[in-house]
Amino acid sequence: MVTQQLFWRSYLDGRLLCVVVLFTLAPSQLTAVPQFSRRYDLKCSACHTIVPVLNEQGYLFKRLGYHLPPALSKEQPAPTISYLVQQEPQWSLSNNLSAAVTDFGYQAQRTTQEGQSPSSSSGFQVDTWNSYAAGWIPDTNFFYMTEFDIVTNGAMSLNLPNAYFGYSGGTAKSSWYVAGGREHLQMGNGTRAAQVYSLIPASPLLFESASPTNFMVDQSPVGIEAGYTLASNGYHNIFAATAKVTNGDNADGSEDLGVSTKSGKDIWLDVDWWYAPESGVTFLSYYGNKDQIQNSGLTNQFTYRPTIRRQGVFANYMLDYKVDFLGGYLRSKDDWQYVSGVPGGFFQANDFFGEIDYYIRPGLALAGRYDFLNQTITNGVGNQPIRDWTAAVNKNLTRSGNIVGRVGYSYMDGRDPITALRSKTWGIQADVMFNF
Amino acid sequence: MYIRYRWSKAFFLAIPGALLLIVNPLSVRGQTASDQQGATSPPSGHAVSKPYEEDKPEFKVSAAGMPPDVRQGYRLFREKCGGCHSLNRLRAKPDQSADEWADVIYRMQDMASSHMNNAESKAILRFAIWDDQARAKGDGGKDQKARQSP
Repeated sequence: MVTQQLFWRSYLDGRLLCVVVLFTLAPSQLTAVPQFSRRYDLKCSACHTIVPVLNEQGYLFKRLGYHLPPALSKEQPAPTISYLVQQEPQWSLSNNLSAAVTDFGYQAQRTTQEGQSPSSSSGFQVDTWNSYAAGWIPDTNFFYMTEFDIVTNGAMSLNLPNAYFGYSGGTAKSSWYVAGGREHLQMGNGTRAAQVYSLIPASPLLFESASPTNFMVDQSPVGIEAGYTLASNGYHNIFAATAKVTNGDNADGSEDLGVSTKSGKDIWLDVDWWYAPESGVTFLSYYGNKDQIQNSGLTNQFTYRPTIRRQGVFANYMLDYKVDFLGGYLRSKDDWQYVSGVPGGFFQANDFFGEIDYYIRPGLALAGRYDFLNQTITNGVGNQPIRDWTAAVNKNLTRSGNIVGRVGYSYMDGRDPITALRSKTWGIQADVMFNF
Repeated sequence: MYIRYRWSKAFFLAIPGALLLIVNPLSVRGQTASDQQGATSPPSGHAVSKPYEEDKPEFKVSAAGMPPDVRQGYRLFREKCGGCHSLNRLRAKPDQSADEWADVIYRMQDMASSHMNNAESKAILRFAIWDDQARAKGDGGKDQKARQSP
């Protein structure tokens, strides 16, 4: 019986580790929204360093309700959001809809896991094909954003991970917004190091890895959100705070999109301070709970309700507009039970990443990142590390920056926090992102 | 077979979207971004379909006859202004006075992610004024010859 349990636990946790491995190579969902570029006759680099990495202006654009941040000077009073709405160009489909935000690429990877034969895979694939409808309701302060995914990670999968609308008010210097619907937890939030998008095809591992309690930061729950932004003249300093109340996760870790028997809601908080040029610090916190199915498929399967806690600090420093130093730390602490009704302690993790992005010239950059996850479960197999080394080259293939070529390499070596099974994976990825 | 099905379905959904963009039938306000910037647009009030003007080859000026401070301004003009705007579009504005250029450039300095300090703004202004004067003097012909695709 114990042997059978170990087999199943190994099998299930092997799958868990494979999910982590997959995310080290799979590109994040794309979020370049080229209709905004069309709206203002601007290049993509007005809001991105290289698509899809947001710069300060892109970050503010979202927080002002999808309106371009105006010049802020001490000689002129800051315009109101209503004034920005009046200045918007003609509303048209072409500046509110992007039909083809796609990613086509080649991937090759090899995984070696203890107790199993090595496996390899390679191939061309359409990684993603997304469509976006996003913008403002003419002559009002209301805004909306929808992301319709047609292809995800090479598979046909119709999904609507972002579908929300909101209202923004105040002035460009002191603005606020409220929004409701389904929205990615961290998309467009956070300073550069706390963004889920980076010059590496995959996001930092601490955002992407699923904990043994089936929670990950990279998700799109349904809920309500409120944010406040304070900017100084010339945007030399920006302070922003955002809070969300969301449904949280289902037992299998998928987003809870509707009504459920779970009475409590999850709370997410993000506090950002940008200090020019393009540097900043972010504090991130998540607190919630979910129904966790333990020993799934076994005779001793049971469900309990762990509390999920995440706290993180992220920072970046842009040196001379050329070299961006990024780093992040995320602390995890989730309730954990081995036996039904007997509190078994905690799943805890101290996760880090460090990254250096070198912009050789506008539209061409090298990036390297080191991810380190250190995970442990009370009375379990001890501290289990996962390390991931990744490097990538990004190059704009057009002057506007709407087509980007990338080549990336990743090597990951780590042990599962439950079984201590070791797994190694290396992979390369070359892709072209096309945004129209 | 599965892959073929996946592709065909993706294209089946994407092509109507692309057609919608081309036809672009909806417009509910009477002014385009280009109108605000002073560029020409047809009187119909419909948005002009020029989605990637920014992808066209941008002009280059021969730096041979430029004073050093203007040359520095030209480099910054390409680097800072060209980061967000099509340089062709910026230069398409004729008859900008020095004050108007100063107004535009210092306003841009106060934009998010412009990354310009006062010295850089002044250098760009020097180039903009020099370029306008050169073109007004008739050096535009030489300049045209000096234009080259990057």
